[in-house]
Amino acid sequence: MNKEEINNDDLLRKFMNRGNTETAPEGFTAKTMARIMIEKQSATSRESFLVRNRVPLVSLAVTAALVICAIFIPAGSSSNLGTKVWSYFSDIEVSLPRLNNLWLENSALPQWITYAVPGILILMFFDRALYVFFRKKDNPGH
Amino acid sequence: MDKKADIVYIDKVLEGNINAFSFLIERHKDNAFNLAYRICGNREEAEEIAQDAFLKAFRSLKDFRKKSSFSTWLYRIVYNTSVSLVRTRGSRVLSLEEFPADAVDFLAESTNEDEAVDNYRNSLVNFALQKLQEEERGLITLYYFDELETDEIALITGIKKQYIKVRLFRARQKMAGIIKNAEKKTTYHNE
Repeated sequence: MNKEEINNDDLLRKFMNRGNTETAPEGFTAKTMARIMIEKQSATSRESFLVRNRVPLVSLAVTAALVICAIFIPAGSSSNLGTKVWSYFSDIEVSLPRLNNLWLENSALPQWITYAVPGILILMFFDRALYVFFRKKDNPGH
Repeated sequence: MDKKADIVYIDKVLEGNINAFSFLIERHKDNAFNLAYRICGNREEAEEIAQDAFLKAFRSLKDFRKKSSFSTWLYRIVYNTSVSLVRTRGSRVLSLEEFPADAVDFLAESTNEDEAVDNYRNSLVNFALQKLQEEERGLITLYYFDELETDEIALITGIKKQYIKVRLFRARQKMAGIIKNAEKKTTYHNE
């Protein structure tokens, strides 16, 4: 630092130092904590809505996807939308060993149903188990 | 020691004791508010910025790496929030005539002469700071008010250390020039 810089530095130190720090307004901590609490509560309610309703939400999304698919399936005949979707699903080939689906033997339901239903049940069971596990982990006090 | 105390409170918050965050606010509120105030030049906005910064810090506390100090991390949030706010709303250009130049004005509003001198100096500093770029205001505040080293200032502002020295030099020159100029116009005489 040259002499001028030193003078400038001294001048600024005279005007600005820790002693001249502006203090936060009264009630600052309480106001900030109130905002944090509101934020925390709304975040929890937002999260719990999504968590609680994730199965119907996923179902809704899948259904919407299927409907969109059905709309875009080329129409081979003059059949209605429901028939088109049904014919699409009945054509799906499952490359797993065929289950002994005695109760479905004489029904009109396609083969994939016998895999899809137990699959959904297993996924729901694990979803529930993981939810309980992570909830405990997130809230160890509860 | 301070850093360790912060870590204790941070751990408590992460364990689920949200109220422990109030200790962190209490410890750092004045410095956070001061930095915001010096950059934006308005008490209401500064309070809003400081509160927002604590809220952001709370939200991201899980991501806080305990290797750095909480104050540096918080200052960074305050600095960035303040600078972007000033850039968004634009700086108000002050003229020297806007500065209440007479120290007697401050004496009328203060209980004693020392308080009047402090108030006068504070107003003059704020006036001079508002004449600088928002980044320079931050640098000056961190360097003079918070008495931080250039390394830490670089961490807070994200400006390279070598540029900090250059910018500080320019800001210091401007600031000193404005103060000297304003002092010439006042009836206040330093004892």
